[in-house]
Order: sequence, then structure tokens, then C-alpha cells
Amino acid sequence: MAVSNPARAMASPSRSARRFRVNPAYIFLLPYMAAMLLFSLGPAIYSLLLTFATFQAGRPQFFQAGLKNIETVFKDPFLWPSFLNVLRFLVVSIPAGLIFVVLLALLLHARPNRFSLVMRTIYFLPGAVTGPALVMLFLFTFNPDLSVFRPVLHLLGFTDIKQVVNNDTAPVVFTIMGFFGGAGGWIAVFYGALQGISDEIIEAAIMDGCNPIQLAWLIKRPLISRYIAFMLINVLAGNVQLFAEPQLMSGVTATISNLWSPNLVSYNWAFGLGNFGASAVISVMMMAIGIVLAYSVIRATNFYSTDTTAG
Amino acid sequence: MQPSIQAPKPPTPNSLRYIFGHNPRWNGMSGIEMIIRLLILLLFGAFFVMPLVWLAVAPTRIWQDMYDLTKSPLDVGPLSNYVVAWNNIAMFGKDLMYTWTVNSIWYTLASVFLSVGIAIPSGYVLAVMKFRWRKLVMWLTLITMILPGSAMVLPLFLEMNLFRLVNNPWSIILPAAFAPFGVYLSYVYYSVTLPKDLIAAGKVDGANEWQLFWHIGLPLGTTMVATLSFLTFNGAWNNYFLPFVMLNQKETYNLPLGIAALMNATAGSPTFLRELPINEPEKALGGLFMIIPVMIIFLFAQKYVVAGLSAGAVKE
Repeated sequence: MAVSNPARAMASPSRSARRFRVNPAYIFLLPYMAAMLLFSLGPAIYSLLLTFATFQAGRPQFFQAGLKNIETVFKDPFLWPSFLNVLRFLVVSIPAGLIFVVLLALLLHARPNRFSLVMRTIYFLPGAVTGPALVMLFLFTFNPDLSVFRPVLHLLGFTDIKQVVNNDTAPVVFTIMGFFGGAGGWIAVFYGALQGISDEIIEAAIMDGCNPIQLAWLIKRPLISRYIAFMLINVLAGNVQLFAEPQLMSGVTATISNLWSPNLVSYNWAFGLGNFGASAVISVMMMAIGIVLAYSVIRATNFYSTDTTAG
Repeated sequence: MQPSIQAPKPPTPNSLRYIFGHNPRWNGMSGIEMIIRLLILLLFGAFFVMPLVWLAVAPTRIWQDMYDLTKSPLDVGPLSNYVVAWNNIAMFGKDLMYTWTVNSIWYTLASVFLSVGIAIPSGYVLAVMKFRWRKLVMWLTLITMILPGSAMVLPLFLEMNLFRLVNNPWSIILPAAFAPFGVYLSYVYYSVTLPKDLIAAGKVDGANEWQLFWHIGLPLGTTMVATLSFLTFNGAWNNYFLPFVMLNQKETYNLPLGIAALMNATAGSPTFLRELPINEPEKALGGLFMIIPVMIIFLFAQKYVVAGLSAGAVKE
């Protein structure tokens, strides 16, 4: 390969010149590929390298740490509890989110009239509330003194916000907050998908004696399963990455650990303890978990099959 | 649960479909089932809307009143308290609120332009043009789409540190240039909606690839541009983790960081305690201030958002 035939190379100068003409597709894609390298693949590889690096005077010494960073992180008494916290959060938030989103979409669609459209918009609007604004709103809403749901909280026996928001209740607390901000968008998406189901199918099912519950479960649900998978991928990816909610809540109530989620532990290693190598180990772990989770959902639902085989 | 009540068939099902009580789709439902459905929908409606109503009412009240258990949580005070609360916020760090607002607007707009400007043509190319590395780019897009963004924050910080961009707004704007989900959305959109004949006809007429994109692709993609702009706007306006790590001078904060600072104004720093006039009404107003622009856009962009999210899920 290295030594080409000089005669052949000389014989076709015009051909090689033509071959050098760049496909315009690459010019179109240049900024995207540059951004991918700079802001995604690059940092990902960099953090992989940092896993094995020590720091001297703020400069990384690559491959000097061996497995020391990994050892440090694995001995961290706060790391495994933080993973357990997120796991508990996922166990609560994923099924609850899925069930209620699908339920509400089906209920809305059971009779798609103006009332349903108004309700859909009402469910949708809190999507505008995220991050610090969401945390603030729920620090008020979960406070039995201030809450708009004060009677409900009092009925449940809560008199102090620390009884409502603490390490034990955190998975439920974050689930409620996430549902408040995120459910409406997905309900609207499912509702839209349900409207795509033709009247004939539904009428035929009713003719055949389907009751509304059978209709929802046997006819409508399978037809929106693709959207459900899409939601699952997104919600899983989002929920594993919890940062703002525990970070801000721990600052205010002090009953939620400021090392509640792995992202917080990682942040603390880097900016609290100055150990960027250890922090990189957790970043890499989070990436690996994110990829494995998303990949398994994609495989299980055959989600992207059409795209990658298309070209 | 018996399919008892048979609603009368509407004369013209299509025109009357959305008018209450004339829908062919609900005739499987009994009266009790309809009531249960209504109750569940309204109950969740209350869950979604009541905290927002509270937030709108809170700045009209005085904070000591809010803790008064004899008063309703939705007690409304004089509207002029909005002005009082706003002045208190503006006092916080000497007009910092205005700085944060301007910062937020500029960070967000720059992010949207950069992100959408790169994602749309990239998705278009993947859908329309043939080239050797197409499959690789597709795969890289799908893989990087999965990479959790927050795991990237710390490595990005170290990278920006290398470029000496920490504490510089560009450290949070530039990463917006990489939007694999936007590229994927654009790709799906164009591969579903763009008529291949149109491109072929344009080529016959001698248009180059750039002209084809500019005169055919872009005009056909306006819905998608709107959707993607909205999604990016939403993400950038609410961006917290990345700015939290990158920006540590109050003058460079965006609104989310500012709101977080407001929130901690009394709880976090005991030296200030209640000396600063930042209490519940002020915090609520700050949150409201950050939410309202997004909510207005939400109201108008609902259609686009649904279209966009759905497009992400559908690819035949």
C-alpha cells in the first residue's frame, strides 16, 4: 500500500485532482463534527485519561496514578450510598411516571373534546418550571406551613418541612417534582400519538364488545409503545443525572445529604477535595451506566433499528 | 363497567368530533366511568396548577402572614406588594437581578443560534446526501446522544480550564454547539418529509448543494426549526449544572444561578439571616420571573414541542 506504482500515479494527475474535490456533505458536517470532538468525544476521552492521572500543581500527570484513583473512589463511604439513592429513586420514579403518564393520556383520549385539550395544556405548563425554580417551588409546596396543599400535608400528619423532605423520603420527593415538571410534555406526546389511531379501529373494537379498559390496554397501548420506549430512554437518562434538586435542597433544608447523588459526590471530589482524578472516575462510571441503560432500552425496544440500517 | 350507555351517532363525525358529548369514541363508557375519569383528570389538574397559582399569589403577601396558619395559603394581598418585592430583589447585590436577566437572554440566544444553526444542516445532510462516512456519523450521533450530559460537566470544566475560558460566558455557550438530539431530530424530519424528487429536480436545474439546502430544505423545515429552537431555548434558559461549575462570579451568573443564590440568601449564609429583605415573597417573585417567559412560549409552542418530541420517536 505504501509504495504505489509511480507510473500509474503520473499517468492520471487529473483523476487524482478530481478525487480530491471534497464532497460538500463534509463541509456541511464540519462544524458538527468539530463540536462533537470538542464538547463530547473529547471530554469523554479526556476523563477516561484522567482516571489514571495524578495532579501536580493543577496539571495532570497522565498514567501516573495507576489504579489509585479507582481505589480511592471505591473506598469512598459516600459513593455506594449515593448510587443506592439514585437506584431507589429510579425504582420509584420510572414505574410511577410511566403509569401515571400513560393513564392520564388514555383518560384524556377516552373523550377527546375541548375539556381534554384544556387539561392537556394545564398538565403541560409546569414543564416551564425546572432546575432552581422547580426546587424553590417545591420547597414551598412541601412546607406544611406555606404549602398550597397545607390541608393535605396536615392530614398526613406533617407539621415541619423536615418531615416531608429528608433522605428517606427523597426518592418520592424527587419523583413528585420530576412528575410535576416532566409529565405534561409526555402526556401531550402520547395524546398526539393516540389521535393518530384511526376511528375505524376503535369503532371496530367497540363493535366487538371491547370495554373502555380493554380498549385502552389492548388497542391503544400497543400502538403507542414506541413513544413509551422513547420516554423511557429520556427519563432514565435524565433521572440518573440528578444534581440540581438534591444540591439545592440540601443547601436549604439540610435534611437531604449534600452527597445524595453520584454527581454530587463527583462534584465534591473535584471542587471540595481537589481530587480531579477521583472525580473523573465517577464521571466515567456515570457515562458507562448511562450508556448501558440506554443501550439496553434501545435493544429491548429495537428503537433505532430503522435508522442505522437505512444508510 | 358494563358498556351500557350508547351515545347517539353524530351526524357528521368529523366536524363535531371535538364538541362535548358528540364523540363516537366515548360510547363505550358508562356514566360512572365518566365521573371517575373526570375526577382523576381534575385531581391531577389541581396538582399541576395549584403550586403555580400559589407562586403567582405569594409576592402579593407579607412573609409573616404566609406562616399564619389561620390564613388561607392562597390569601391575596395588595398587588402593590409585587413592586415592594421586586425592589427588594433589585437591592440584592445592587441590581444583580438585571445583570442576570441580561446574561440569561444573551447566553440563551447565542446557544439557540449556535445549536440550531449547526444541527439543522447536519441532519439535512445525513438525510439527503450520500457520502462515505455517513453511517459512522449516524452511529456517533446516536452514541453521543446517549452520553449523559452531566457526566460531561467535569471533563468540560477541565477542558475549558485548559482554554482559559472558565468564568467566561463562552464556556457555557460553546458546548451548546453540539446538539446530537437536534441533529437526530432534523435527520428524522428531513428523511420523512423531504420529497426526493424535489431535490433531484433542483439538481437538474443546476443548483448546488448549498442552494438546495437554502431554497428547498430550510423552507420546508420551518416547523422543525421552531421545535428545535424551543427545545434549545428551554434547555439553555434553565441550564444550571454547567454554569454552576463554570461561572463563579456573581456578575456572570444566569438566572438559574441567580435564583439559587436568592434561595440561599437567608438559609445559606447565617450572617445575613433576615437582615436582607429576601424572604418568601421575594423568592417566589424571582422564580416567577424566571418561569414566565418560558411559560408564555410554552403556551404558544405546545404544538411544535409535541411535534418535535413525537418526531424523535417515530421513524418508519
